[in-house]
Amino acid sequence: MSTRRHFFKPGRSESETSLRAKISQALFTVQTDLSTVEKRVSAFEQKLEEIMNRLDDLENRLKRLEELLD
Amino acid sequence: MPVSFSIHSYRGGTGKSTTTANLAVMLTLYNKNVATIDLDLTSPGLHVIYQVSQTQMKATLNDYIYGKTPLEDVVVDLTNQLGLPRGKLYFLGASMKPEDIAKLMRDGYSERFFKEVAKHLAEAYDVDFVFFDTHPGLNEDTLLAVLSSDISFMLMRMDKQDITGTYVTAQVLSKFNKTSYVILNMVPPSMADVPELQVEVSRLLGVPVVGVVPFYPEILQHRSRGVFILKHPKHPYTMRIKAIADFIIKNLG
Repeated sequence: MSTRRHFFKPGRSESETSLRAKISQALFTVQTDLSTVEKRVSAFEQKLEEIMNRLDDLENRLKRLEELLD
Repeated sequence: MPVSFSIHSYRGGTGKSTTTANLAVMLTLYNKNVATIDLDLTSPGLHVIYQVSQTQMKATLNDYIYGKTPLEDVVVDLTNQLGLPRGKLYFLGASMKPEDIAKLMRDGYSERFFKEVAKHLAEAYDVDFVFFDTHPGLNEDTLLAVLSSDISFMLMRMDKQDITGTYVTAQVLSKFNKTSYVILNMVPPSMADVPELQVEVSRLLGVPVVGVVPFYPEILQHRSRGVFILKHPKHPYTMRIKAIADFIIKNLG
């Protein structure tokens, strides 16, 4: 392990200015697609609900089967 | 160089700090040296979970960022305090003073900070992993933190607002070819073990799911008093955190 004391030198580089500009651009582009986002998330939620309903149905059938076997 | 991770979520209250602290402790049990950095400037929470008092912190992360103090004065070694049997755990806390928070929020981070702090932690403390517990949301500084780390972990709950925000975040990160993973947190227990859940989330976000953590009321009851997995080593939550740590060790370490 080093015994050197580690200081950070503040200040921004040119690459950072460019990365920040790219981030702003990316945020701007994505925000314009919000209607598509809404559609995709709703479709996902619907699919999840279908899966959960299917599981509920399966659980109910198993219960009925267990009752019949008893 | 250590591997750096950002822990990010679209909304607050998703369990970022709890996950960061527990995952970091779990990784020390694999004999790893881990540093955790609280970048959630407006609502820092890691120090509460670790039970670090302000007097234990000789200096804050803000002092290091402004070049006023060396890293060695910011780092708090928690290994003995938490009674960790192997590995090392370090904590770097941000200032709680409103004027310091406001100044850093105004000035923003420097992109170099993320690489430099990881490099300094490797040199001074032989750290294997660095975790940045970020501020929630989609702002320029938070994205800079996420993009400047090697790997991004996005925490998501299963509610519409969170799903939408995480989807948008994943879209932004994909534009930068960022290596990202999703951890589903506080998942309704009835849903947690459904195999299709991970498949559907991965399909929606275009990002692999590395962990599914159900909602456990015991975590809430614990109220961030200490690191949960140390107090409850056999709890199912601990097993879920172990599964994520296993993934990191096998694939990202």
